[in-house]
Parts: sequence; C-alpha cells; structure tokens
Amino acid sequence: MSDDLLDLLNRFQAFGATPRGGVRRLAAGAEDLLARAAFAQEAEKRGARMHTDPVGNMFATFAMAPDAESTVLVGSHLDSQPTGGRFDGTLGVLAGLAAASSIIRKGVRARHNITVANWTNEEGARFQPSLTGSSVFAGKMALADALALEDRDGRSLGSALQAIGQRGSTPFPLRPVRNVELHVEQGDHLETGGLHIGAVTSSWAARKITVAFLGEPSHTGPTPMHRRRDALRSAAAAITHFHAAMEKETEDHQLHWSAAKIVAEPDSPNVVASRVTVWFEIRNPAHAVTVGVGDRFISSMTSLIDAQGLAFEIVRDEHRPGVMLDPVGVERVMQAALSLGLSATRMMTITGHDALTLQAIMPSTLIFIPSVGGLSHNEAELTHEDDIRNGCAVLEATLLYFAQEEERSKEAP
Amino acid sequence: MEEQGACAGTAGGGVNRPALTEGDRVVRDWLRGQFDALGMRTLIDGVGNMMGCLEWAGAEAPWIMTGSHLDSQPNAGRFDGAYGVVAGLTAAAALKEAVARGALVPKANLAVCNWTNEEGARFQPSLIGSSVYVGSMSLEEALAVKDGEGISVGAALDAIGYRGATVLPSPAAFVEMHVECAPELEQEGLQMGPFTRYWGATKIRVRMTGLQAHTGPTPMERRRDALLAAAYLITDLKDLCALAPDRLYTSAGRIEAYPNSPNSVVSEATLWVELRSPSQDVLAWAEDQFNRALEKAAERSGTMGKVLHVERRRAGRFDAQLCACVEAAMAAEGIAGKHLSTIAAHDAIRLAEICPSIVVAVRSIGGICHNAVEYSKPEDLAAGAQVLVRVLSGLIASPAP
Repeated sequence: MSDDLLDLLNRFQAFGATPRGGVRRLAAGAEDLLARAAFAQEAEKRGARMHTDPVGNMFATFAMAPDAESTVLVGSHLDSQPTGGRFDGTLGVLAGLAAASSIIRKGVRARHNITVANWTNEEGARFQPSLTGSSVFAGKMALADALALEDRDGRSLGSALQAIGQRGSTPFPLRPVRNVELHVEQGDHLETGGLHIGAVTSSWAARKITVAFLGEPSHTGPTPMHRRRDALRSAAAAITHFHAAMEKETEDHQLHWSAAKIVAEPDSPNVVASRVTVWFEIRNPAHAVTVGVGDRFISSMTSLIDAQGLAFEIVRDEHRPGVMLDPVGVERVMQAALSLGLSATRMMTITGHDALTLQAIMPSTLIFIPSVGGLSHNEAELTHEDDIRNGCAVLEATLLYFAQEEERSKEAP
Repeated sequence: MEEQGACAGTAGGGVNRPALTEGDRVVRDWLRGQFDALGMRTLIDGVGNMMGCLEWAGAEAPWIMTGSHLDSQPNAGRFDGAYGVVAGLTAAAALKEAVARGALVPKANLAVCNWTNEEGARFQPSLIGSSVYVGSMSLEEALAVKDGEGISVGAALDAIGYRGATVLPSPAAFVEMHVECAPELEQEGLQMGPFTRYWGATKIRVRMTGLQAHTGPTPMERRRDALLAAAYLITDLKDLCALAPDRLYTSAGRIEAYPNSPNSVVSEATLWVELRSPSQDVLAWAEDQFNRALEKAAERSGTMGKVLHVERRRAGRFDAQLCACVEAAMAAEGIAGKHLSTIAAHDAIRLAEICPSIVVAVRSIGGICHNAVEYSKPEDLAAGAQVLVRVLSGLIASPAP
C-alpha cells in the first residue's frame, strides 16, 4: 500500500516541479490542472468514480457500500505555494487514494462509501482567502463570492476554473458523514519529541488584518521631504513596530506572527508610494488573546501613523477562532497508532487545514506526521519515507474504522 | 497640449503612458502625424528615439535640438515631458513660418525630439533613450533591459512598431522646456527660470534574502524575514535625510517581495532606493550610511543584504552661454525669472555630456508632479513657448562654432 503512495508522490512531484525539489502549483493554474488530471486518472484506474463540484472541489468515490448514499471523506489539497514543498496537501490526497484502494482490495464490507477529496485553493496563495473549496462545501462561504475572488491580475477564480475545465455544474451528490485528513505537521513538535503521530485536538486562533497605508503620489526627486506623504514609509514603520510590539507581547502570550505580503502602488522607483497594502497575521492558542493583541496593535499603530500625519484603512479584519475537532476521532487515531506500535500525541495545530473548516458540518479528524526541521512552504520541505508509511497506515486504519462504523449522528437527539 | 493629453488620458485628467506601452504607441503615432503636418521628416533610431527634422541648411550644417519625452509615470500628469515636446512643435511651426517669409535665415537645422523611457517607470534605469543617444549606454544593453514582467525594451519596441534603424544627426545645442515639478517659482510669483544646476542621484537596487517558511507553525526564532529587513532599511533611510536637511533627499518607491503570499515568510525583498543631493560629498556620505544601514538591517533580521546595482549620476551645471541666451530671451519677452536647480533628472542632463544643453522650467502649481493633478497654467506654457522660439531662433541664425 505504502509503496503505491510513494510511487504516487514521485509521480505528482513532476507537476509544477521547481529546480530545488519543490512544486509550484497555484490554484486553478496550468500545473494545478496537470495534478488534477493525474488525480482523476489514478482514481479511476483504482475503480473510483469522479465528481467535480461548482467550486472545483474534486471527489473520487470508491463504492464500498453501493446501496448507501453516505460516504466518509478523506483528502486534502493539490495546490501549493508559489515555491512550495511537495508534501504539503499532496500527501493527504494521495494517501487517501492509497488507503482507499488498499481497503477496496481487501474486499471488506462497509456501511459507507469512501470519497477521496481534493479541495480547491487551500493555500490562498493565488486567491485570498485560503481554504476556499472546503469553505464553500461547509457553507461558510457563498459559491458566488468564491467564484468572484480575483488574483493579482484580476482573473476570477470562476473564470480560472472554467479555463482549465474544472468548474463542475452540480454539488457533490453523496452525504458525507465524516472527514479524515493526513497532513505533514509543518512545525517541529513531533520531531523534537521523537514522536511518530500527532492526533490533532484543535487549532490555534488567528487574526488576519489587512491594512492599506495611504499616501500621495509625488516625484521622488524635487518634492521637498517634508511635503511627501509616503505610504511605503508608513508601511515600513508599521511593520517594524508590529514585530517589536509582538515581541513584547510574548512576555505574556505564546504568539506566532507575520507580515508576509506587501503591495505598493504605483510601484515605480521615482514616484512616492500612494497606497501600500500589508497583510498582518497574529496567532495564539486562544481566540481572546488574538483579539486583544490585535486590538492593541491597531491602537498603537494608529498613534504611530497619526504622528506621521498619515492615514491607513483596515481593508479586512478576519477573526479565525480556533476549531475543536471531533474528540472521538482523536481517540481513534491514538488507538490506531497504539495498535500499530507507533508513538503518538494529542496536539494542537497552528495552521489552517481543510479538516478544520469541514468540522463545521461533520465530525472531522486531522492526523500529523513529522516535518524535518519543522520547515514548510519551502522547496526543501521534507518528510521521511518511514513517517509517510506510518501516517498512511494510521490513516487507513482510521478510515476503515469509520467506514464500517454506524452513524452516531443518527442516534443523537 | 490637449490633443496629446487625450492620448491614453485618464479620468482624473492625467495620462497613463509608461514607456513602450499601447498608450505610448498612441501618443507616438500622434507625434508622427504632427511632424508630417509640419513637413518635418521623422527619424527613429534603434532605441525608439523620435526626431522631427527641418533640414534647412543642408546635411553638413549644425543641428539645433529641442524636445523632451512623451512617456509618463503610471496614471500621472499630462505636462511632465509632454510640454517640452509640444513646445518644440509650436516653436518649429513659428520658425518655419519665419524662414518662409524671410525673417529668419537659417544657418542650422532644427530637430524636435521625443526620447524613449525618460521616466524609468516601466524600465529601469530612467533616461534610456537619451543615454543611448549620447553613448553613455550601449544599444545592446538598453534593448536587453526588462520590465517587471520580463518583457525587454527590444521586444516592447517591436510590439508597438517603434524600433528604428536610423543613425540620428548629432546636436550642436539642446534646449528643453519642462514644467518645474517644484514649488519655488510659484512661491516667488515668477513665471519661469533656467535650471543652471542639477542635483546628483545615486540609485541603488538592493535585495534582502531570508528563508521562505510557513507563517503559522514555523518557530519564531527560526524565521529570517526579508520583508522585516526591508522595513528596517526603509525606516533608517528616512532617518538619514534628517541628518542633512535640504541637502539630502531619500526615497524607496518600489518594492518586490517573494513569494508575496500571506502564508509564507518573505524570502526575498528587493528595494529600489534613491539618494539625491546637490553635493557629491553628501552623496558619497549617504551611500556609505546606506551600506551601514543595510548591514544593520540584515543583522537584526538574520537575513543577507546585497546591493544588486548602483547607478551614480553626478551633480553638475548646465551650459552658462545657453543660460545667458535664455535670460536674454526672457528679458525680451518682459519675463522676470531666477536661476533654479533641478532635483529631478532630465534628458538635457544626458545631452550635456555631448553638447551645450539647458532646461527652462515653467511654473508648476503646488509643485505637484508624478500625480494626475499636476498642473501648469496655459499662459505660462504659452510664455515658455515664446521664449523657446526666441532662443532657437537665435541659435539657428548664428549657431556657435
């Protein structure tokens, strides 16, 4: 089974391969299409039936229980960062495929079908916000809003999906009862603890604040310095202030933070920038902390920019409270690891994942395996073959259990 | 002025004509039509510089030249550059008429020029056309310069059909009309004045290199954030000009971050920095300070800083004799003015390397430039054209040996 997965990973590495071993598969782009087509081909070869929904989510259903209209979802995403790693997301989709086809080959009976999913634009690299496909599926984002999202060239997600022939016309027809996702950790908790498997209990909260600093275009030559209203200088001052303020907040809180995207206009070397947009992120295990820290940052930034006689506007202020994943799934993963002789731990995730989004409409489970050095969103991202085998084995055991399990939701009041 | 302003005009009253874009093609076609209407022969060289020529005195006679540039910053004003070309056309019409009725006996020829990519908005460096013309940049180098999307000057010239092959005549003198782009004339209630000096500029392209990583789980102490490094540098750059008030202007107008995705720590941030001063000593000091700030920014953020390219344009003086001609012409028109220094670059600074050269500034309102609301009054523009006619007329009647 796992050799099947390693072969699949090797095959998919070629789609959008970058010189240093990574991949570039921006959502709904040409390389994404290569991966999508190969996914459909590999799934059909293994006996699955394909369906693509209106936001481009792909579903490969293995008819484990042909009479049932219920299914257990397993999967992740095939899109990547502009120079991303080859395991992030792709591992979860391909492990789902390998695990499902291994289960099928065993000829066991199940109560539910198994559907391997590839969720559209999880990364949010080309279209923001991220997790678009799973958000629409979970009813957290309207389909029309998702299709209208534009990339930096003004191309909408809808037209980009249309262009690669990946915009389906009908919603997914089966009723999902559960979701399971295998993912690389992208942090160093498992590696430093010498552990094989992470059973994710919940996620950190995040606050994402997009700020546009406002200036006035003028010539960088003759315009007297005191007359310039330079938005790039405000942005730079705000970024350095942000890092210093967050550093100080770590005395009281466990924080991760970043300012990782910047867009300057008109972006000419000899014109003073008139509008500069910066994407800030603040992350902490507790929602209340991200709210408080974010509020204090906005307030101190207001004083800073006011003192410069300039202005800013908040373009977007997104609160992502942490998500509590289904506790039954956590225990199931812990037991599966135990029975396979693997060491496992319950842990939180700092990043967003499709599994967290899907928890809104069904019990959802997220399994982590170690990332070397905790490095991710980098071409050098790596997970060892042994860890991949272990992760796939735990995924298969968990998946099989849930496919055979009676639905608890039906028993609930 | 209105006709050219309608070429790639914007809703805000400005123009959007970065070099060799479709907008630039439209205004170039318009200019060629103007040359034709005035009976001027159009010449185009390998880098797309355009000249409209009136060859009154034969191929061996000296050439007196005027003009400026029709390219613009993105969504910028309709006067910057375009005024110099239009004033040249107006003067050519007046001089042609004077020659026709025998009032001017030409001992020199006249050319009105439109220099390619003066602004340097789409392609860096700026002043590409005039630099190639005077030989301070090779044609091959110029054609290979690429914009932010990887399109070369050569390919862009081909795309709009303005890559010529003509060897242009050499100038005996160059007179450029331009809006002041500064508030000094307006503040003193003056209509115009010759630029006698130009500030020097050091333009630096610098790259900070960090480590691309996930913005979520990556432990903070392992991050090496190139955008933070760039922010440190921009902030220090601002503090630098406070150390030499009025003698040093600094700016960073363009930034390129990679991968520029909200979820990945920036691994590469490239900045376009400018240092400008009337003094070579201040410029050298400022570059040194900049390099120290770069080291400091790299150290504080755990990144590496590298200067990719430095262009040093020396401070200097325009031709004193031409300045006297301009002042005489202003006096004859009854216009009071003053000597000015230009901080912005002009094609005339490049031309000064091979011939007597000068820029005459006409009052800007509010000193605003590189902005769609940039404005100069019609009567000031007209007065400037009158002065240009007198200066050119004098040079054409008795060109300096």
